[in-house]
Amino acid sequence: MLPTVLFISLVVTLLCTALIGAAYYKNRLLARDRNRIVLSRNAHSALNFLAVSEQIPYRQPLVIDLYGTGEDSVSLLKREWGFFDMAMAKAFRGRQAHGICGLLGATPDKTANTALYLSDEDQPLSLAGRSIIRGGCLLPEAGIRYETIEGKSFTGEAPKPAAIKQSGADAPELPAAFLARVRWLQGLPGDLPSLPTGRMTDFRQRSFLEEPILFFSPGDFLLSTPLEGNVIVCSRGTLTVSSTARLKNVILVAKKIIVRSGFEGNLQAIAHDTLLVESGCRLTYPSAVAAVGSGRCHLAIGSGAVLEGLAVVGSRNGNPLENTLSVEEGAQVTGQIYAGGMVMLRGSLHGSLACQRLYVLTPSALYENLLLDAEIDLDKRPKAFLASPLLTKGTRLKTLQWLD
Amino acid sequence: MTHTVHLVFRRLFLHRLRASSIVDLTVAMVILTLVTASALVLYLQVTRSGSTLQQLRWELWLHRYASQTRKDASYQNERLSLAEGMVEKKVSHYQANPKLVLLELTFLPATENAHEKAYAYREIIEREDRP
Repeated sequence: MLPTVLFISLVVTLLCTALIGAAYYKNRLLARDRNRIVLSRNAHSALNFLAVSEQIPYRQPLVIDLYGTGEDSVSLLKREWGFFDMAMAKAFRGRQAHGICGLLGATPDKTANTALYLSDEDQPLSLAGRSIIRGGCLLPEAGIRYETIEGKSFTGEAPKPAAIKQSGADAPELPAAFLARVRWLQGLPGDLPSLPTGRMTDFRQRSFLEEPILFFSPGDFLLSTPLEGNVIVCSRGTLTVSSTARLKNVILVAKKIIVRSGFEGNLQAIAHDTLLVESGCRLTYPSAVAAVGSGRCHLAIGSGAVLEGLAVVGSRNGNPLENTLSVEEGAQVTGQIYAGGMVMLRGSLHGSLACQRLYVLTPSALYENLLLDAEIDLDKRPKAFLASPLLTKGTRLKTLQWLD
Repeated sequence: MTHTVHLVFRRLFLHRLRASSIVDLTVAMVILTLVTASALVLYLQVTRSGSTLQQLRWELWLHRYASQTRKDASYQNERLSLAEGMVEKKVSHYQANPKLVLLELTFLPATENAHEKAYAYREIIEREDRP
């Protein structure tokens, strides 16, 4: 009898152990899942904290106890990422951790919320053809003149008189923080460790939770490798981006940058003197193209090209009127154009433009302060648009893109 | 065939069982009772220590309430009475920073069961202007 009972007891014990084990496992899974939710919330909370704390230095990790209870520790890191800031938050609880990364942009300030800022050089703004301006403007005191250029009289839409204010004589200057960031980027690799471009195929994807990878080429370089994430490509010569290259969130720095026709991707490109975005390219938000150096700088966006983000041209100490930015016919920019120099706008801009002077170059003549068949429409800029924090003053930082 | 069936029947039902002493039986019953009872207690302890469906429902409710607070930018302290309990919303500046809001939500269940404890939700959000 006793052996039978012992056997039955053993079976019951085994069954109960299995039941208890299953219940324990379910509880553990639930607890882990709930913990993960709390960690994710803590990480987002920390990112909000970082976004409003201007005094947090770049590249210096900071660990905080969010609620002072000793349970919700978060490690924070702010890093420069091109013309934006990158914020990383990693929340801990026990042995569990959850990290998030976001690109921070700034809510548009007064300049970015002005459809057109044109320096007052005692010349009126001329409108011809199907030019359209919608949104507030800061224009020269001489006002607006309607012209017939190349046989095209004005048939578009002028800004409403109530939306026009007088601009100053000052050219839009690139802020010191912006120039400092450009100088830092153009000084790369500097002391930072870099890899030869030949090793690119080994690092096609790099998480933003890791340290950035820097590829350096001392001469001209053709970029056709797919690259994604925390990657910077520097060249001392001309950097050509092939139409077959698949780029996402990468930074390119070179003396001259050419984005070949048909390219589609997301990048921030900073050239020392020339940047060409050829026809049919599509640079998705938040992309940025800039030609900023110490001499003459030129940035061109080819016909049919699309840029969502930011286009900047300017020089540190050269004559601003030697810097040019052109948006060809059929090209579309959604975002912000900021030019410490002259701008030829023949395509459409859904956003804001700040420049010293406008120009139109036709086969027969060069016209100053003229918009011919151009569109500037601030109302068409998406409401959620965030600008570069380096070009805005006193506005809030917000997450414009989640990185991995 | 009939013979085989008969044999099996005899072996199953008509053979004599071996008897056990009363001591054997008592020991067996005690062992069985102890094993079953301790297993039952352990199982109940484990299942009761975890989250109940009710608690998960409250958590989800607080999540929704928090996102509604963010959406409406309503930063007032509030108390909501529900059939299952009460929700207390406490809003304050985080670290005296006027741009940040510390949102604390606590669900206090109406029942007094020990295992149905209060659930708290905390989040730091950026202060937005009312839409």
